Amino acid sequence: MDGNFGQDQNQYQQDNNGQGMNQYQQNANWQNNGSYQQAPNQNPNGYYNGYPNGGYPNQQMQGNNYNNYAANGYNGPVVVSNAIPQKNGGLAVGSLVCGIISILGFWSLITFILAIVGVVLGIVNNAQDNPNKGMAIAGVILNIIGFLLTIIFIAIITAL
Amino acid sequence: MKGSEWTISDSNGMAHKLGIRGTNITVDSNTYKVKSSNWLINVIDYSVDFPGANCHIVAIGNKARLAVNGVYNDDGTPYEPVAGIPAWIWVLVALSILGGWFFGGLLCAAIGVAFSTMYVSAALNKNNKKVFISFAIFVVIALAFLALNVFVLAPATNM
Repeated sequence: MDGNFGQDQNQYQQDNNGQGMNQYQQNANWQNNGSYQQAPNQNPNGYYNGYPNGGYPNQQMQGNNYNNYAANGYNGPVVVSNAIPQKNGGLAVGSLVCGIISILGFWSLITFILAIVGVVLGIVNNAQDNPNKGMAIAGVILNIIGFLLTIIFIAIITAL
Repeated sequence: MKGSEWTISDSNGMAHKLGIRGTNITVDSNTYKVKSSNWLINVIDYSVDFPGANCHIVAIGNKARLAVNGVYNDDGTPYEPVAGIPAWIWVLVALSILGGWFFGGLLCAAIGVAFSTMYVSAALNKNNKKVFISFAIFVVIALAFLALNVFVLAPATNM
């Protein structure tokens, strides 16, 4: 896919057996890095949604991938798309994991830093309006608890 | 990573070669660079559409499978989207790898990677029991590594 973009769209339009370009343009875009922008009327998860008779999700293909197939007598665009959404709440997962590790390993000074990282991840996740907001909040709370446990542990060690 | 290749036919009777090697998906003569959706383990779910054949190349770890029109072609089980895996599975994955590294060292983290692929595969099959059992086994292994580090290796290095 890399390096194949920027080809003439007219070729696609001409070889598409009468399927209108507008239909493709309305529903989805292919970006130059190969990522895929979800169209509002498509399956939000992007996975198989049972196109009968081999129909396609209405998509606009940029580049010569389709043209290669057209030259070989192939009558449709090949659409390669990531079925996993880009915004999947990974930051919230990271925040929660940092929180759990910082609580379990409060006796280690490294968790001091881990707790701060976890709080930042959780806040950034919710600020960016990513999914798993509840998980991010739980992560922030666990990180704060882990942070406090580490401080208490350090205080006890220095007092002894 | 060992590559996998499949040949499928579309509704026009044309045969197409699909393949995956590492993070490269090949569709006939075209190669597409893809990336894992997870930072810690290789998780790929890419859709390739042909007339009459909606294909999904799914790779978890180093095992790749092909689903055509909602059915895996190797064992006939229905395709489940990787996007449908619940978030807590990814928490277990991260805990096993990062927690394993933190408490048990690199070898424990490597074992965590192997177990993580099991969690994801089991979650795709909706087999939560297998996920819990696998995670419990991993926790026992991680605790054994932790005990080994604290009670055997650490005193030995202090001598």
